[in-house]
Amino acid sequence: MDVTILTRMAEQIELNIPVHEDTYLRISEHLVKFWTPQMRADFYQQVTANRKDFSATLNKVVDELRAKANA
Amino acid sequence: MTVVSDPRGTMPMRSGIGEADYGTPKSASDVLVNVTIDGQSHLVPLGTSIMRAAGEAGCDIPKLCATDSLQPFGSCRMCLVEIDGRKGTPASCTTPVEEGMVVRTQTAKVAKLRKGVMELYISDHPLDCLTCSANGDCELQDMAGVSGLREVRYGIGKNHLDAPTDSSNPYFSFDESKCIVCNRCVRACDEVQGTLALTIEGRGFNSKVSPGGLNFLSSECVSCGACVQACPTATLQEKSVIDLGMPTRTVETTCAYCGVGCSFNAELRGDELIRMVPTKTGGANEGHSCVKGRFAWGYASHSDRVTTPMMREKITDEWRVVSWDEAIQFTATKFKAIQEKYGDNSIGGISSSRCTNEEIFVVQKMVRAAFGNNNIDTCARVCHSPTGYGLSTTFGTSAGTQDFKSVAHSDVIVVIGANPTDAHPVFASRMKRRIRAGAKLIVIDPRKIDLVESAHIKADFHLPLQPGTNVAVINAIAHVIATEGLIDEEFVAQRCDPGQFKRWRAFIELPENSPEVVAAQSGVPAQLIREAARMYANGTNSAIYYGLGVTEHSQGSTMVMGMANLAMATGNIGREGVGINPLRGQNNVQGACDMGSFPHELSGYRHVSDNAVREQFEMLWDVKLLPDPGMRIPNMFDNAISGEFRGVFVHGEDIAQSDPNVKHVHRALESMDLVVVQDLFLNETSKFAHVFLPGTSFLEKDGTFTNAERRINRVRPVMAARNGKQEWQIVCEIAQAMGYEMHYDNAAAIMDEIAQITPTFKGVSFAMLDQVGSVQWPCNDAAPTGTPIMHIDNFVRGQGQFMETPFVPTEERSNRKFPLLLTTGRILSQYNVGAQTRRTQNTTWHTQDLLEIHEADAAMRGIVDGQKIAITSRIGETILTAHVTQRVPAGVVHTTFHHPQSGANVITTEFSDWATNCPEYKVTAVEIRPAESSAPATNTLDEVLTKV
Repeated sequence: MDVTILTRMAEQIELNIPVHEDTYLRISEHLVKFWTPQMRADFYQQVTANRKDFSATLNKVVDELRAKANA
Repeated sequence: MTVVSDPRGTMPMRSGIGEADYGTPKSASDVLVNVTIDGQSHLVPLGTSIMRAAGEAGCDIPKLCATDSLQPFGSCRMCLVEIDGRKGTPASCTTPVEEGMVVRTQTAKVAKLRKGVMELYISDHPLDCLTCSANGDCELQDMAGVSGLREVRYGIGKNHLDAPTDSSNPYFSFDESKCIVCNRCVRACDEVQGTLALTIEGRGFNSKVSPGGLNFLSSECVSCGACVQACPTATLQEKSVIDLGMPTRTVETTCAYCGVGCSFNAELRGDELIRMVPTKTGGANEGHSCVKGRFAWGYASHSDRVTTPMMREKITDEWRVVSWDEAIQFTATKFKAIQEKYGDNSIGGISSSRCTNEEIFVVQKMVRAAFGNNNIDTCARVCHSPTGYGLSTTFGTSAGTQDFKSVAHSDVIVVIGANPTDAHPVFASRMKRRIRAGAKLIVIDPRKIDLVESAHIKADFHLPLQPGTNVAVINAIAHVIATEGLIDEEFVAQRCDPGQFKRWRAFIELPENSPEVVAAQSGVPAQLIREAARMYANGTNSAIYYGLGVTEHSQGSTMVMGMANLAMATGNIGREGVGINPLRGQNNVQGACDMGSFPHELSGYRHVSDNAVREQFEMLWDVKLLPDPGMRIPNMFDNAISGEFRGVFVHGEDIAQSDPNVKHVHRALESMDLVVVQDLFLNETSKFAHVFLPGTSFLEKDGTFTNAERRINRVRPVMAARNGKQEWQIVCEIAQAMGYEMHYDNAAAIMDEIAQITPTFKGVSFAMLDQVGSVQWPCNDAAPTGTPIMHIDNFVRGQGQFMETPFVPTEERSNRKFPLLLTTGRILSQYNVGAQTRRTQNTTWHTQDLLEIHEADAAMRGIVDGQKIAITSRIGETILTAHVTQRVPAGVVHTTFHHPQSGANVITTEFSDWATNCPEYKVTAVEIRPAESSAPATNTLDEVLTKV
C-alpha cells in the first residue's frame, strides 16, 4: 500500500486523538486494533527511514509498536 | 365472518386475509374494570372503548368509521349499543367502558337503527359488488350483510355514482363514487402518517375526500398507503388488486429498504404477489408503511433480473451463461490460484447490509475460514462504521440505545444529520406524532429538512451549520451544559468513569469550545446554540436521533462520541424517551455489523486478537483464524492499485457507484484478476466483474434482518428463488470448492450457529422468532425476551467513558476555485444507488438527481431552475439539473445519488473518517457553472483541470 496514504492516515489519527502524555499509546493501540500487519510494517519502515519528517508522537508510536512486536 | 388463525396463532383474523381490527386503539392502562357485554362478564383495561372490549370478547359490533389504528371518531352510527341505566344508543367506539357497566350490542332497537343507517349508505353506493375490486375484502359489504339489509327503499335520486376516479397515483386509485366519507383516510393521513395531505372538502351532500391539489399525484400525498389501508371500501384501492384480483394467502416478512425494518404481510394469490400490507403486530412499524416498502417491490420481478450465472475471461469480453457448477468451480479455482501466486492476503470479500444475517455470517466465515484471512468488510464501512467506533468506545457496544417506541416518551428530540421523513419515513411518522403532542424539536442540519417546518410541525430550533462543523457545534452545546451548571452530576458520579469525565470536563470548558468561538466556525449564532443546549439539558427526557450527516465526515467517529458525551453528561441514557439512536441507512446495517463482517472483529463485536474468542470460533469451525485485522474496503482498493490485492467477492454491493471517488474505485477493480459479483442486476460493479452470480430478492430469501433498534425480524421466502439457490448456499459451495467444508441444511441452522457463538444472540432461533414475532438483542439468559432499552443500570462496558472530542476541520474546504460545499443525501421515493427503486414506478416522483442550489448562488452564476449545470470538484466533474431553492443555505449545494448517470460519486473525495475510514460524502468543495451541453459527462481530474 502506498506509504503516503498510510502516513496521511496516521497523521489524521494523531490530529484527532487529544494530546496527553499517553497519546502515543492510544495511537499505537488504534493501529494494532485496526491496521493490518502489513500496513503497520510499511508505516514502521517509512517512519524509521525518515524520522525527522514525522512528529515526536508518531516516532514514539513506532517505538511502541516495535517494543510490542519484540515483547 | 370467518374466524381463522394467524401464522403465529396469537390473534383471531377476520374478513378476507387481513388482520383483526378491534375498532379502536388498545388502552395502555393497567387498571382493569368489570364490564358485562351481552350477558358475559369481562375484565377490561380502563379506557378501552366498548367496541374494542366487545371485539376482544368475541362480540363484534358493526362499524364503518372505526379502525383500531385510529382514534375513535363516532360518525358512522353503525356501532350503536344500549347501556343499562343510560338513555339513547351511544356509539360504542367513543364510549369507554366503566366498572359495572352492562352493555347490550345486539338488541332489536340497535339492529333496526343500524339497518336504517346502512340503507342510507347503500342508497348512494354502486351495487356492483360482484365485479368490484374489493369484493370479499370490503367492510361496507360485510356490514350490509351483518345488518341484514335486503333492500334499499329509496329511489334513484341525487347521488355520487358518476363521480370521477383519480388514477394519477401509480400505485392506487381513488374511486370517489364508492366513497362513504367515513373520514378514515383523512384521519390516517393525519394520525398515522402525519402528512395531513387529505381533507374533507365541502359540506353535507357535497362533502368529499380531497387530496388538496389537482389530484393525488400533484398533492402533498407521500403515497405511504395509510389511506388505502384505512379505506373500508374500494374507494382507495391498490392498482395491483384491481388488475390481478384479491389475494388469498399471506406470508409475513420484513421490508428490505431502510433500517426501520417494517413488517409486512406479503399477500399472494398462488405464487403471484398481489400487495404488501404492513402488519399491526410488526414491532418496528405497528401497521404503518412508506411508499417504498408498501409499493416499490416490483423490482423483484423486473425483466432486468439476472437469474443464471455468467462468466467471462476479461471484462471487455461478452458475458456467457454458465452452469452453477462451472461458475463456482471457476471462482474457487481462480481465487486459489491468485492466493498461490500472490499470497493468502491477496483476496477478500465485501458483504452487504441488504442481505440477511445468515448470508452475511456465511460470507465472513468464507473469508476467514476458506480464504484464510480477515479481509472481510461491509458496506457499513461507508455509512455507520463511526457509530460502531463511537458507541463502542463510550458505551461498550455498537448499537442504538432505544427501541422506536421510546420516542413517544421524549420531551426533547434532537435530530442531527438525518432526514427521517425522506430516509426513515415510518419512524418519522412516530416522531412527528410525538412532536405534535408537544415534544420540543431541535434540528441540526445544513439543510432546511421537512422536520424544520411542515404541516403541524415546527422545530423549536434549527441550527443550520456549515457542512463539516458538527463536532464544533456538539462541543459548543456541551460547553454550555458544563459551564452553566446543567450537568447531571449524580448520573455521572454513579454511572461514568470519573477520570475520563474529569479530563472531558476540563477540555469541554475551554473557551475554544464556547458558542461564541464556534459561531464563527459553524455559522450558527451563539445564542441559538446556547438556547438549544439549555433545551436539551433541561428536558425531562431528551433523545438524540442521527444519520449519515453525522457519520460520513472526517470526524464522524468523534461526532458520535460527542453525542454520547452529551447524553451521559445530562443523564439521558438508560430509560424510555432518551438515548443515542443511529438511524441506519439500509435494512440490515445493524445486522451486518453484528455478524462480524468488519475486518477487525468477529460476530458480537469481539476483536480478532482476543485469543479466547478466537479459540471458540476455531473449535467450532475447525480452522485456524488470524489474530490481526484484515483490510478495510479502502485498503483493498489502494492495495489493488498497488498490485497486492488481486481478487474480491462482492456480495450485493455496488461499490463502483456507491463508494466515493469512483474513478479510483474503477481503477482498483480494473487492476484485479478476479472480481466476483453476486447481485440481482448487472450493476456498475459488474462492469468490472469476471463472474456474476445471480442473487435472491428479499421476497425469495429465508433468514433475518436486524433493524436500527436491534430488532431481529424474520425474512420469509414469499416465492421460490428465481436463481434456484439461496445466496448462503452459493457462498457455502464456493467455500467447499476451495477446500473448506461448510454446509448447512437450512438458514435456521445458520442462525443456530450464530446463537451458539455470539453471546448477544444466544436466545435467538427461527422457532423463537416465529413464536414471538421479533426480538431485540441482547437476547440471552440474562434477557430471554430481548432488550428494548440498553444501559439501564450499567453501560455494557461497565462505566460510561467520556471522550475528549477536539474539533479538527476537514481538509476539504471551499476556496476560490471551489467555493461551494456539496453535501449528498436521499429522497423519499428512491433508495441509495436506485438499483431497486429505479426499477419501480417510484421513478414517477424522481426521474433524475437534482442539484439543490440557493437562489443567491444560482443568480451569481446565471443559473435558473431546471437548467443543466456542470458541477466540478478537484476529483471530477458531472452534469446535473439545477433546482433553485432556499432549502439549502447560500454556499451549500445538495444532491442525491440514486441515478448512476448523475455520477454524484465521480466528484466526492478520498477523505474519510480518521478512525474508521468512512468516506466524507457530506463535504466536497465544488464549483458550478451552466453546462455547455446537456449530455452527462464524467471527467477525470486532468480533464477537469484542463477545463478549469
